[in-house]
Amino acid sequence: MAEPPTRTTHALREELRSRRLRVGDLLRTTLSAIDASDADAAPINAFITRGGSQLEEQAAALDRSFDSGDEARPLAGIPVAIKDNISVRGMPTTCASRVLEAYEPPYEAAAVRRLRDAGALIVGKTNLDEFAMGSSTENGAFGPTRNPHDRGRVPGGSSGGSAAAVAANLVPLALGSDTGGSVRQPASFCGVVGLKPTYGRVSRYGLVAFASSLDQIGPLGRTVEDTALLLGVIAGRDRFDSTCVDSPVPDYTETIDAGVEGLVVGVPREFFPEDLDPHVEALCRAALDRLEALGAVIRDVSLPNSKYAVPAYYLVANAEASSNLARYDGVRYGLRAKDVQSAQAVYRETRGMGFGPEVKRRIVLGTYGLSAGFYDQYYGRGQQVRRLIAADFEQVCATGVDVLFTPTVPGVAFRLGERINDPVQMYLSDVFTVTANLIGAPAISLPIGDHDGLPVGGQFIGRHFQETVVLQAAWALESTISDRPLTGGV
Amino acid sequence: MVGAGVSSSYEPVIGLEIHVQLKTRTKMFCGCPAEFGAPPNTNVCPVCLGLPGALPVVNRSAIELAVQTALALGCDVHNRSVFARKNYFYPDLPKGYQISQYDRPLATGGVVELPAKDGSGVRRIRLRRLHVEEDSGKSIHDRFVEQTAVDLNRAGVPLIEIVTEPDFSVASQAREFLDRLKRMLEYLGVSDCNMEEGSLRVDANVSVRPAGSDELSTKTEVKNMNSFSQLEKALESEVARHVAVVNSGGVIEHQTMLWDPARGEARPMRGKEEAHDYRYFPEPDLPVLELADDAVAAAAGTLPEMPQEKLERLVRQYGLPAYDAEVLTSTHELADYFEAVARLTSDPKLASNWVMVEVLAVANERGSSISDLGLEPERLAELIAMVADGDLSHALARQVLSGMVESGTSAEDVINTEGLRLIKDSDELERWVAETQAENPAEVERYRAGEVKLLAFFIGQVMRRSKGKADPERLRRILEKSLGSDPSEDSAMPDTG
Amino acid sequence: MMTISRTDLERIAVLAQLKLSEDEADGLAGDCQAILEYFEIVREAGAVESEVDGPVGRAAPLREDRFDCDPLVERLEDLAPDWREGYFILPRLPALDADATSDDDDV
Repeated sequence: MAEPPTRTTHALREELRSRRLRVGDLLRTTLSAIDASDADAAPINAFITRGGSQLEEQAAALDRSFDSGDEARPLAGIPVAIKDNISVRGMPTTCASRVLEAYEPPYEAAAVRRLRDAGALIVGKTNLDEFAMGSSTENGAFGPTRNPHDRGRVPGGSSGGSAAAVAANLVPLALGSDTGGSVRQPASFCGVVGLKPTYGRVSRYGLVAFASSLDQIGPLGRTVEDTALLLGVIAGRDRFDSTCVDSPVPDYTETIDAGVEGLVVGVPREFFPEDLDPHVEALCRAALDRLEALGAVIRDVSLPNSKYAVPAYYLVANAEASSNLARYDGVRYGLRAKDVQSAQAVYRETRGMGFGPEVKRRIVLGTYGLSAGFYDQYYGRGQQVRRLIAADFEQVCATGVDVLFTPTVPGVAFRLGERINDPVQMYLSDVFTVTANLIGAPAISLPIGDHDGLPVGGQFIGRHFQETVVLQAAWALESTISDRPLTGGV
Repeated sequence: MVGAGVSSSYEPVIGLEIHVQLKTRTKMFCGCPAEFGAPPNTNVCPVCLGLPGALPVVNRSAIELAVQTALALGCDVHNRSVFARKNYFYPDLPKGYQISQYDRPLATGGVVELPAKDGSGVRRIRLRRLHVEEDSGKSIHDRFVEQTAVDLNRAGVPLIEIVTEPDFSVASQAREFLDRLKRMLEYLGVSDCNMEEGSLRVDANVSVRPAGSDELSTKTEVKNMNSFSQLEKALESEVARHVAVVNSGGVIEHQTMLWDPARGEARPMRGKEEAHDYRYFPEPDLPVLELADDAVAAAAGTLPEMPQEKLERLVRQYGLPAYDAEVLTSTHELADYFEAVARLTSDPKLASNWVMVEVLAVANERGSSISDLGLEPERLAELIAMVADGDLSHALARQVLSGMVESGTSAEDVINTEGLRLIKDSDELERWVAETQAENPAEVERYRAGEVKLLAFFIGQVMRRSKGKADPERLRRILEKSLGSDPSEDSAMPDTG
Repeated sequence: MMTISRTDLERIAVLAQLKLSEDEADGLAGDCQAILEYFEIVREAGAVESEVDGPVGRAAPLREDRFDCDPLVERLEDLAPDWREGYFILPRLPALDADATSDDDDV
């Protein structure tokens, strides 16, 4: 079995630049590591599609470029995995759904173009819950992803494939998407770093929409610094996304070690409920103590309306999803039911056989919540509560709080199948992550320790477009944690 | 058709919903060409195909044209309006929703005034709203047997939808309103307004109520009219159907009727009506559409003169009769042409006659537009001056005009090459008069017996003989003289009556 | 407290053009009921004065009216489930007459 590279992106860049490591060799070990991770009785199954021969040419070109000495692009030769709801040319984009099983997008996502421009090697497409709807990466059409730390457990979701690929050292960097915690929650379960940027920081063009007002593409990496590097590459204005904001992209890595002296860290009491797993709570309190020791000011704060965040989130997300998924009708691309006699039958049969149970559940709930007579009490209500939570956050920020610190998830990775038949329990694993999506703020999850060998994540939530502050806080905390599970249990 | 008896006891209540394709280069939410007539599914991209992950971006020009239209119609243009998704399934609706506007449209209010035909004041048609949206593609059901073919070239072309209040009480008013609206849209240059190509589409809501009452009755929606005259027929027919149903004690069902121009009747559209739940909600892919006050004011400042203003000005400035001004303002092009000619002539009324009668006749004959005639205003003005100076008769000038259009040259050139100059030479004229009298002794006799209206007959005969070139004034004098004072020898024949 | 009945579910399935088997419908009705009950807590939250008007209060950027689309790198006929002479093809829609268009129809 090939030895996967356990180095950080930073270390890999150095080796590639000094030509101690060749891109071609890195590519081959990466691809064989991916294959090896699936050649097991309990495969990790992080990838839906693995790149092929076209990568060899690209790697050779990169090696020539390094040889010529003028290769200076930030991700030159670095293998990156892409969640399979982000459009990449030359590979299918399935969203882990039967309805898009054979769909190969004829265009590419803006974030992926930026990755290519930065020299990255797109090595494959990672597993997810179907259309990113789930918190365990069990809801896909192509089998569950397993947590590299304990293959009997889920990696979290919906970007479980990306988080597992990084945690298992298959790739140093990956892209996920985060609608209600889908980057941060699996990052927490897999012991890696995952960041959800401010809504509008990264173009959504080419990201298959789940809930348009909440979706953001986010980077996952082994360290805070690697994650910052990847964010810097994908962030910035895009003329094809009207919700993407034209504000300058700072060099996130340059000031990442600025420290937390004087930084005001708010600790929202609603995120530390009485029934919180005591191990998670203890790790969070220890992290806060270390931040304080570094000079941060810890302050107790309250977001009273955040207790409504999960239902508000699902009311909004499902409604948008029901509309976003209407385009999968079997007319222009993707699956088409065979032997049907009318256009309506094409829609009904295609959608009936193409979508899995969780997607159907959300389409039904979302359609219901928008239908005549129900809009105000469901979708409309969800949007109103969203406003209330945003107002709570603004109020806290107005008192001088720079970032919030919370647990990412109330517990550690749960067992495969444990919550699959209990949607409400499944939804509750997003309880601490959905708030950042509802208010559009940036948030990061990083490992803060482990419990019985399973990683636990802590979350910083920052002000809009203050990714720099969030990354600085996370970097400072990361530097205090010696026993963080840097390498997964491959 | 509405009989006199029923129309006196029931009053139609009609409202219109008009979709107008905006004349932009590219589509509403993507940079694909918005042109009509390309091979199917060639003007498409990830956005208008509704590919997974594609996103809309608003076309500035579409918003500008919509704002201009709203201002010209006297609507309130709102600083903030919201795009919304209208959700329904249809093969030519790629995303499963149409991006439109719902509870916060671009503009509301507005009025179009229809002057009554008999001059008794005006009827005010109130506008409810004007919003922007994207068009659907086309589903073609008759190209392949048992199959629907979908062309998405039109998907995403920008539209404005204008909704009137139900302020029409006669079908002909609806048509008159549309004539005016179309004229305004053409003046603004915002649309081609071609009903056959579908760049202007009109649906109507129809109900009837006892004359003079205010009650609200059940409406039906009538669709699929492809011309204004079909629309008028469809409305009359649907009103008559409502009246007949109500008179026979029946109840009007709320439904959509498809007009069949071939059969001259509207039939209920097959299919389920309970599915009318569009689940509108704000389009999360598009932030609020903001229009600053100064941008709206700037748009108002660049509005061209609207037909009614122009009509009134032509009457005032050139002293034209209202009828002339109405004809001349029927298109922007015609009015501009008239003004260019009028500025170069001393007699605006004469210029008006030439433009609205003779030039239009030549254009119609050739099926071309005024600009296609290649008739420079300067050249027409020269021709009119020749007529005014008595150098050309009206009849001769018409021939010259025709020659000018034919050859693309000046009046002078046509007169020279075709020898169309007026013949004023007395000897020549007198010879033709003599010949004519000799050939028509009976008419000469009758004239001399007092039937003086036969003068016109003689003028016509001489004109024919001269190929229209005889100077009419001189000819008249010579004829009168010759017929009146010099009876011929044969004229004494007794009347046999 | 709202409940979601089988009739509601059938109405929703028509709106969403989603074919559901008997078993699926039974399961969904139960799940949706449980989820909607859980969602009830949002009723306790306070009222909001301000109007909800789109993502984060930013204004929509406007694009200049020039040809600028993201070109397709594959042929549509390779993407389409059924394609004929330049058209996407599906079984005939029975509800409409020749060459009608969908504008505001949802048959």
